[in-house]
Amino acid sequence: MKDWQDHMILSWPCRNTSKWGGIDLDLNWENRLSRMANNRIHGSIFSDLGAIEKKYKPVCLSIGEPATDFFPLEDMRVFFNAICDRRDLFGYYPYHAGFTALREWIVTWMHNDGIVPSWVTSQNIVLTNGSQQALSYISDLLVDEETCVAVEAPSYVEALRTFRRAGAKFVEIETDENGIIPESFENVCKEFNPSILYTIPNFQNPSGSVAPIDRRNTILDIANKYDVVIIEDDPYRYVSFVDSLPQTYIGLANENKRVIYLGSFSKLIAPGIRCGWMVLPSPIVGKMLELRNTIEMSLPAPMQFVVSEFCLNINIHSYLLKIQNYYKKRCNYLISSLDKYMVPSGLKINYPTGGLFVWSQMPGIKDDVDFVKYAIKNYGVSVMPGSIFYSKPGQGMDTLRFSFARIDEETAEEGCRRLALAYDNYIMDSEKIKNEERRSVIYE
Amino acid sequence: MTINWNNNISKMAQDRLSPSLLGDLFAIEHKYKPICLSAGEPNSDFFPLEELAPFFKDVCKKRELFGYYPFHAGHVGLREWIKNWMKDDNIAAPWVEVDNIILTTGSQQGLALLSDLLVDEGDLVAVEAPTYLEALRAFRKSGANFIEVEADENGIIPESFEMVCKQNKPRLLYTIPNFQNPTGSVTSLERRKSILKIAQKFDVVIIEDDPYRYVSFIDSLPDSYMSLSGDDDRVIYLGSFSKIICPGIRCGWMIVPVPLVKKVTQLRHTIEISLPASLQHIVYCFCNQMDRKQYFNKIQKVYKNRCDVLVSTLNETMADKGLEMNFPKGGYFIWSHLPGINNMRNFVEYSIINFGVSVTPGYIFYVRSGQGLDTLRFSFAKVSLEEISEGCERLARSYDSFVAL
Repeated sequence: MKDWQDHMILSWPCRNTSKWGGIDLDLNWENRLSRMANNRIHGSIFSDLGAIEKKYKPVCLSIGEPATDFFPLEDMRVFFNAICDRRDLFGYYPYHAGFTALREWIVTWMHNDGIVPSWVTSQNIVLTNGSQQALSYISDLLVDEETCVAVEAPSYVEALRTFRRAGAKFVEIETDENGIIPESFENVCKEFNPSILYTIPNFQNPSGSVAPIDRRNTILDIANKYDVVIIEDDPYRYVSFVDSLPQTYIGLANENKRVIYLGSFSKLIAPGIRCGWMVLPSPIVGKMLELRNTIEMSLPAPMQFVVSEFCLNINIHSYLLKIQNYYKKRCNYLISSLDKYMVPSGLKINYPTGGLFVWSQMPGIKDDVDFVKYAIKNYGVSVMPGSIFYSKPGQGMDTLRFSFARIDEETAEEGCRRLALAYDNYIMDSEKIKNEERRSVIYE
Repeated sequence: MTINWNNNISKMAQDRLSPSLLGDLFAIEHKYKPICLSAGEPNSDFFPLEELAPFFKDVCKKRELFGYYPFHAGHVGLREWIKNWMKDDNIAAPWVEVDNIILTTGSQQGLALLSDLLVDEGDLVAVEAPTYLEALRAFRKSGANFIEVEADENGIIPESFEMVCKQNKPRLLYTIPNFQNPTGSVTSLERRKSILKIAQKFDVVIIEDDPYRYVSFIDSLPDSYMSLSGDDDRVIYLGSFSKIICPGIRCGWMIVPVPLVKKVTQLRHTIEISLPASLQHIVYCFCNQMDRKQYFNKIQKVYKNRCDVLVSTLNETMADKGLEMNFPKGGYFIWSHLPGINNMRNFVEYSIINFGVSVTPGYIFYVRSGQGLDTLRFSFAKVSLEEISEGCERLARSYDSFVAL
């Protein structure tokens, strides 16, 4: 095995914290903080960008959050009205895995879709306050200091912050428009012996890629050979513009129970409902509930009741079709505006088949974060810098992530028009700066 | 290769997680449905659901609350309301602003966040003997070891705390100064001042857990540690709506010193990418329209009445068995000694299964085993007046039958 120092990201993500303002702690409290708090908790670049966006109120091509008019609140009102008749839900809820009826609905749904093996029952379903909480519990349960987690490059950076908190070191796996490249995963396994693979196989965040079935099979074989646990994060599954998706890892693994599957209602209903779920192999369910009970004495059962009633009362098939149409339309708006304004300047885009994101490469940009700040401040348009999705610094400095989650035809058009302006002027400005630097050298 | 999950479980999960002792008993109770003189949980009859209902109905109109909530410390209006309340009641230190108020999904989450932030493996946390055991499970998860401080009916004994500080150098003191769980004791003002001084001398951070404050049967309480500490920002205060509104609303708060605010929210952001803003908004609407004084008076009356009935009934039914009790001035609990029982855990289980009444054995509230073997905790929180008398009678019969075995 190679030296960790050369290949692991030891101080991740210090690049971001220095750039966005570090934290000044009162010396007393620095001494009082745990090592974890001092070394492994950092600001999120999403929050930092969010703060700038709040100030400048740009046209927003960055946020992976649906517009509020999408939330089915009219359909949910009746369940919010009914909630106060369920006195039993307002005490300490006795089932640490979550509201029983909802767990049963989820398990039936997943079996109907054929995405989980037959051993999965409602006993294997644990409700969470969203996928991030699931990742947090899983990190506590499976990650020790120095535990090696293999991640896609690029990957969902907020998930990595959670693994990092528990002490994880990351090793990156190469990907392309078809997800993880199996050969790269095998090399990583040989060299670094990771304990965990964290992957978003469908409409990955940020790249939008879908891993095809033959790759999934190969990756599962490799995970099996090197005894790697797979965490399959699948929040975008039902935001799909294609007829069918390759089988899930958990489904493919079948009796080989090395996959933990994460689902979420944030993209299906609304993020504010704070409800997701995990599918856990039986041997770790007990420990998971013990862990949760040290962190939360009880669960928001009233909210889980609302989600449960909503799910029981909709036709899930037609509901999902509605979601898919909603996002497909928005995706098309964004793509056609990008084609019109940005592609002529050299932007290369991945055409997504689902999810919320368009991943792209902009050849003239050498520092994506700098460019994004420039675009927000001077041209009132925001996109997500792509480099923040890499765990190892220095990569993806010419990449950008667009989101079509909350745009309409006009904002797509206006946002892309502004971005093209921002780009042209950014390039011109940096030429100017370069020339001035050259001149000042000459005159010195 | 078949997976062996034992090899994949973290050291923390292997060494530091354990089932909850209360949870074990809870499972037995769940099966036999006894009269519950054990649960520290309010009776659902008291949940103000009629008052909450309109807010649940209205929340759907606030669409912005159903997106990702942008403030990681929680609903801004509710935090503002809590700040003013804490100032009015002279609980908060002068430096407390709305930024120092951080909403949680209950005090247990507050404790979990604090232990992650402040406890390294092997760190010592000083705790009252006895104390609320579920809190200690959160500290334990971060690797804490515990050192017990002696307490009596007036709370922590300062001399014992000083001795512990000298000898063991704890990093934290975890204390429930008002109507402590399980003893019901209130730490006197004089003692609070001495304890604070000792904490300053040995640089110990104080975590002041105060969930029962507003279930008080007396006119006034000693100043909080937080207000006594003034500009010395070593106290973190935890409050909860579980006992005031209901547990299912999942809402509590902490007041944290300025230097900690950012770290707490950054840590929380790794656990929850967003908060249940809609629930927090409902709590806010409820709080905003209530007459605090009147509302708390109502709560206090109900619990005081139950407490009085439990005390007098226990006197009638159990005094002749040698039961000695503390008379609480608030909270949910009566702490007691019951001689003549050699295995309290067996007695409790026996009472649940054979006589349909449950109480909580007191020894589980001690960190070191072998203590409190003759103690019992009674709760008057969940039971009606009729259940109280019936429960005490059942307990007396169970006692006679158990000692005759």
